[in-house]
Amino acid sequence: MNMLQFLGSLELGLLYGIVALGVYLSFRVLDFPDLTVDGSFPLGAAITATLLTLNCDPWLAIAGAMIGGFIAGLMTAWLNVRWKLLHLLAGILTMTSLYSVNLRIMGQSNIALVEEKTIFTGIAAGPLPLLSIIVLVIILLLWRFLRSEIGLAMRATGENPKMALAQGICTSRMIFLGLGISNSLVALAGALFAQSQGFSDTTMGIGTIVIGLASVIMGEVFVSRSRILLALAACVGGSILYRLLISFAFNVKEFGFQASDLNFVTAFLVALAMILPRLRKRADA
Amino acid sequence: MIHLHNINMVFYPGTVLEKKALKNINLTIEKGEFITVIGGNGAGKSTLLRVITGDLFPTRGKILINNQDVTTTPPEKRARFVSQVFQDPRAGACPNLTIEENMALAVMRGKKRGLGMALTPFHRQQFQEALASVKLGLEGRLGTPLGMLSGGQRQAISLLMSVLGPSEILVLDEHTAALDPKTSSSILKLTEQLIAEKKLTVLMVTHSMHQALLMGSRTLMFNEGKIVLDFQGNERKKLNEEELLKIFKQKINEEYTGDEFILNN
Repeated sequence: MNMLQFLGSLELGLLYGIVALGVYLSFRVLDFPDLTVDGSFPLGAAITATLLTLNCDPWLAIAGAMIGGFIAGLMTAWLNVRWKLLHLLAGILTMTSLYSVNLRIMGQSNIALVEEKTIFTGIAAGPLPLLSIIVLVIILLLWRFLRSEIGLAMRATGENPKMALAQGICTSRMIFLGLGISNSLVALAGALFAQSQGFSDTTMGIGTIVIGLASVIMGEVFVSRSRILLALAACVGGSILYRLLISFAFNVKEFGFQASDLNFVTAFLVALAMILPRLRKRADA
Repeated sequence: MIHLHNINMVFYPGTVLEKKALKNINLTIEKGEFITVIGGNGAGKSTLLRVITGDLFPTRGKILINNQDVTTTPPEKRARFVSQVFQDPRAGACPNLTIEENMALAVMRGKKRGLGMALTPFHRQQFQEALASVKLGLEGRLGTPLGMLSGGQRQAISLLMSVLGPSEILVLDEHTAALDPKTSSSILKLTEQLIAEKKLTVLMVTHSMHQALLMGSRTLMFNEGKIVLDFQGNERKKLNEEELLKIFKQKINEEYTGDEFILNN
């Protein structure tokens, strides 16, 4: 692996680290397996790319993406909370509908950003420093939020909804808020992806949830779940580690992988990471 | 304080599984009363509690708390008035959250939650003192995840949590049934101590005739979804366990005499 590939992995690791933080919020904090992610990631990219082609300020374009992601999360929460649809199905329905929405927003299946001014334009050091700062700020904000009164109520909702209700917590409101924030983070990642990689494509969301989940699980190998700040940092760490591993696997010619094998390898890694603890438990027993 | 008017609760209405869990329950509970509730399995005791906490909405009837109609008020809104301790020590708290985080959830019960920090030095001080008062040796362990504690310790914390908020009504659903006898009696002692301190209105379901008579000021007996006996005052004081058990068996048999008559002939 050369330096360029390493930096590229780091950049993607940070970008998808934000996805992992969003997935952590839905999967781990709320215990809600939310598949909306596969739609809200390209949604963020689509909104940003479209706004940029309209000469919108790049930061405003990111804000627009986050609002779009928040609404997508509310949609899934509404289907689940209000109409009692299975959480997985609610996410799949929103995700599927977003595929059409994204095409409508962009008006075409992909947009290349060449001339447009992005938040990374004119930074000689490349997107890495700015991305690192953004990720750091998000981690600190989430850390603060999860220790607030509402944040604690959200954690209780995921862990023991019956107890949360008994303590006067409106659990459905927590699911709305949590999925909204989660998907606005994922859309933010999509928006930053479009701005740093210079394109948006309707198919770019496929497998986002699996990558996010892989990052969360890989991070958890190293830290305990009860320390919030560590758990949040581990999501990003796991995401970077995942990119490095993938980059390594694809660089070793002997493995014989090609770029199109990425999704298979990712799914394989996630399955393996989930099977291993069970095998270990059985070996102990 | 609590008024139940003609409460009916029917599960699976119109199907072969239809079950009338509560039949025309009328009950007035005064402020400061401590009621023990007994009855066989499926008699309607737990259903009554769930109707009061808002976990279930009655099929028919009306519930007033402090003269306010709460018949269809969801449980999270009713938590301002009513706090509860569950039978299962795991049900009343979050195992992955720390002791202080669980207590911080309880202290905000019935209040508006915002973005302020859930745990402040003031809270920690308050929790520390509350833990010290129950002498379980937990006061130095605010940061311990609740899942690390024993069932009895968890139930003690659940009790403490139930009296942290502003609620005046406490609902206990066989909260010592899952504990060993020794732990159970110390939890019951703590229950009485906290209830007396906070002057709470209490409904306690129990399977033990002994507890039912020993604790509280009034005893209700449920059978087949109806209140079949309501003892208080001197009448209750004169009663002992054997007599109560005898009455209990008698009452259950009365309900079945019709069937027995048919079977015997």
